[in-house]
Amino acid sequence: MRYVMCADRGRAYPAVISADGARAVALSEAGLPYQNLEELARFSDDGEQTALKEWLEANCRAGIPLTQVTLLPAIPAPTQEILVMENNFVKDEEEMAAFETAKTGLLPTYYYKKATMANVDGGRIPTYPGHVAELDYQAELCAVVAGDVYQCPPEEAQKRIFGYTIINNVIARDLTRRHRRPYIATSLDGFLPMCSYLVTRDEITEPIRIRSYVNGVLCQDDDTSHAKFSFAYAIADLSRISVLRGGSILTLGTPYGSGCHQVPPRWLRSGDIVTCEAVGIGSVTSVVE
Amino acid sequence: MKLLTYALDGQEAVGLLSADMRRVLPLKELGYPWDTMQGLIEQITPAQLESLKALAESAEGGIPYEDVEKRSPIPEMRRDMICIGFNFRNHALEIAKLRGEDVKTAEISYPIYFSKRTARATGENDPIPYVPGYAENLDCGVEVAVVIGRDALNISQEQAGSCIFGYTIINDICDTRLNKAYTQPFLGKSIDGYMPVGPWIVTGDEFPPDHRFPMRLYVNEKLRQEGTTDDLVFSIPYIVSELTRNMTLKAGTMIATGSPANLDAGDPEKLKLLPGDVIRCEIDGIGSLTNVVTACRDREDGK
Repeated sequence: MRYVMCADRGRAYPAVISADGARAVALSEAGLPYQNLEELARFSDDGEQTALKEWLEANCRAGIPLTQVTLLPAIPAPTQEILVMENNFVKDEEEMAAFETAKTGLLPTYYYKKATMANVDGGRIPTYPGHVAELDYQAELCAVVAGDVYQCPPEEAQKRIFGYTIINNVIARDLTRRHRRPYIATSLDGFLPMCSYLVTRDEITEPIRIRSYVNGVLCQDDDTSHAKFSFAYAIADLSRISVLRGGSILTLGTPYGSGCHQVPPRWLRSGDIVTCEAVGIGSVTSVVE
Repeated sequence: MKLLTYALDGQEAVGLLSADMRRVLPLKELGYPWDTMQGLIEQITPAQLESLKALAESAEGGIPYEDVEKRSPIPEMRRDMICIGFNFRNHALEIAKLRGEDVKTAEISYPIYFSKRTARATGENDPIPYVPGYAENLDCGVEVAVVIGRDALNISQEQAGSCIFGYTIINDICDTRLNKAYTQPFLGKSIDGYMPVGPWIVTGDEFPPDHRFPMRLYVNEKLRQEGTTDDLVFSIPYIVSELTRNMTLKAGTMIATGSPANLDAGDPEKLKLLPGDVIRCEIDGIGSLTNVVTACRDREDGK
């Protein structure tokens, strides 16, 4: 199923897209109590998801046409964590082979991205002149964690993905260098453009294709088979001795082709239009302020 | 004034510590609406803060402090604890010496911020997990934690005090093997139970923003760390101002400001922490926080 957050006269509510793809059905109309998709991912279970699917089939006229609703980012104001796997993509088959050979003992590099608000599809990315000089885009596929997870064995971890969305993990490369970590460099206000759709795991088969475009030019184009560590690996790893809360967002890191990989580096400038896309899930477009 | 989260029969509530520090005054009984410290921080008005301060002096009754279950002030933290690496001059020098680096260049020119995460912070007397085969190389560090009092954006150093709700203690536990294995301090600092924070929040009005906090850490009553916030490379107002530059810090966000050098640095045998070890952090003007290292089971498959 495809979930969205709708805005209607100042009110935000979660909804599910009808089977024909044309309507948005408020979860409250289907009898689900959740205020947002974080809560849905954290507290809903397989039984409830199946029941909702059946309810939608039986009530195909429920909801309102998608053309009449305003969509927000899937998680407009994240209250749970956003954990990123840094440098998690190989550039090509040669790098992949080298990684596979060296794999034993290698571990992912995680970092935390702080965000108060996500940017809506079609929204703006601030440039912060005088603070940020090297503004860059990173298309990153996200998995939203299903339920609170603790000590999840690796073979069970795939099931703890509630669904997928895509973000532009905007980063100030100069701040990463200055502070030696990507923490505040990816956490400034307005650095989280997020797709409107959260698509459940059962709808998607891996590998998932990830792309980004700047002013219509394809810059990143790769799929999840080139990720060193999978979402399932991260869920098992992060939950080994710690609770990973449902509704948390894990990102797979970004494929090759960000502005820092261009020669010379190509930083975002005012007026640039950036689109990040995960095929089968959706996309998010932003205008650089 | 000291505000705390406590529980009775597992039911969590917010309380005010009486001025004699012997009694917990439940805020609900005093007529205040908040169920959680997070809610209190987000909603309390200056007038309400003033009247609570008076009540700490005058209110009678309450529950003896020793009878309540201790909790971390904000048990479900607003996500991560923001940390700063090498922010004590003596700690930066210690690390440089151990690595054989030039001590003159040890002082960093820009703060290194990183994140320590947890689903739930622990409090006074809660166990610190020692996980055989996984996390056996524990380290600890006393730090002043700043609690942000309102959604704060673009705060100057001079204004920093205006967005600080108060101060508490964090014992920054980590596993040094995991930090090395992951080539960064993230997962090794973020195991459940590695975030003891408490025992309460002392409100910011008790200190000027540049207050000098003396702090000490004892392991089994033997002094292991000693320092004051005078020795911070980057001061608390500097940190608050830099972190809020174009980045909103939500009310309830906590920042750990740095930990002093270990007196036994360079002697791994002396620094080893084992199940049963009692770690006590003390910060003058705030209080003390005690936790015991306790053996804990790994995931069943152990891989």
